Amino acid sequence: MSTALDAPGRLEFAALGTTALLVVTAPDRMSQAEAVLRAELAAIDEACSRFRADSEISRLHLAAGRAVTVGPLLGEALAAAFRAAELTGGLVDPTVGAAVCVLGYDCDFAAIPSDRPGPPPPRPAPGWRRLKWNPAHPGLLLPRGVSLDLGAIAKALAADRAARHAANAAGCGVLVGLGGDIAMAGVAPDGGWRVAVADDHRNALHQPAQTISMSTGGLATSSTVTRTWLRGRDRHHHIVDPRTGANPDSAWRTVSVAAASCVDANTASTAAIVLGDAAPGWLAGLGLPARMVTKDGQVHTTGGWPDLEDGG
Amino acid sequence: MTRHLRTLRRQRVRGCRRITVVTVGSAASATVMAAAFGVVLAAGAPSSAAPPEQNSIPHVAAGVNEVVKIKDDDDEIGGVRADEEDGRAIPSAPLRSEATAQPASPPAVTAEKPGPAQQLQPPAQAPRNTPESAHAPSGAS
Repeated sequence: MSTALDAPGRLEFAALGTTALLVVTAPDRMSQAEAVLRAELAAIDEACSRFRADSEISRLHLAAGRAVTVGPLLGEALAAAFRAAELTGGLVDPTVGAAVCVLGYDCDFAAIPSDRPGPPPPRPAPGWRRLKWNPAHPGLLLPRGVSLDLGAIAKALAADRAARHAANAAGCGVLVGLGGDIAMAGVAPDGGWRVAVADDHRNALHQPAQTISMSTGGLATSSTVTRTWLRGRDRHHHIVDPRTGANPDSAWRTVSVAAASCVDANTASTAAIVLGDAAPGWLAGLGLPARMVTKDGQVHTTGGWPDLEDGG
Repeated sequence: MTRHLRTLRRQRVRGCRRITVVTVGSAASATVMAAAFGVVLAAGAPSSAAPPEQNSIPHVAAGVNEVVKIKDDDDEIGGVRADEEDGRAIPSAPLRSEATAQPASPPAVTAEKPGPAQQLQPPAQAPRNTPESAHAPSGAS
């Protein structure tokens, strides 16, 4: 089922160190959807931001070595992170926090200095199985010295939650985009939500590599060529291979994945970058439509992602 | 020969003692963990039970609520200890086989797939090309 979208309501604002986008099929209900999105973003930032001393995850780090209860939203983010770790064999692991900091991403991205010496040799992430997690309560015992990074999964979770809650509150179709990761809920417009795909979401609308339509679920892109910084002589990016603690030398510079949710899409796109050459087979086995771009710009698709020359 | 047999016997006895110590230690740790989470459960106060805050999303509230210190040994779970200088984890012993530091194989490329709820879910409909202008951009940030 779909609905006409002649003049969609569209709103963009800065959030979570990137851009938040809200599109609704009923522009007159934008204010309800916007209120839900802003509240959701504030809540996820308060729960999961490792750059805020007063966030719940920062307090969790301070309580390392002790069993603690966590709030429902942090609990949901942790559960999503542990599920991602399990379903990817640990290629997406929340215990890469220290490794990401060692590489230089230890403050808000915009504030990363460029004149620091090279990082020390990387160390493998401690591994999510070292955490003692009670999902029923939820409660967590974080070993001392283990640092969590929920950044990407928390952003995807926020998109999923905001789209779902905003669609319920506004009673119309809603698309939420957070830094290029997209979640859709409610009744889609005629022909589906049209999404321009590119390496960098900031260029996608003006220079799309491909424009696709989707009706529901999520779409996420991971890339080694955006959100990069210089440390020493080397350029680093935010994706870490937990097995080494270093940036993976991936066969892909960019991977976009469509899934039933933004969390699943984000999990798969991140794992595919780390997995490298084996990613197409893994994604195809899961039936996940994906678009992968090699370092020299060649595009590979799998799992039902339309080839560029396929008709619309 | 007799001396050799005596040595072997001594080694066997020592081995049995070590097994006993390890078993008792593990049981003690398990008991402590069970007690700790028992306290967590008994303490209750799950955030969902708290009255919702104004303007908050349902089920979003509360924060880390310290309950009990398990024991100091837990600072060094699985051979990872804190680096006192910079707080980073240092693997101080061979990592266990299930740890992600040394994953054995690529993910989920096995004959035994987990059930539908246990795997990453594809979208209800695959994406299609569209010639029309886009509502939204997707790409990395």
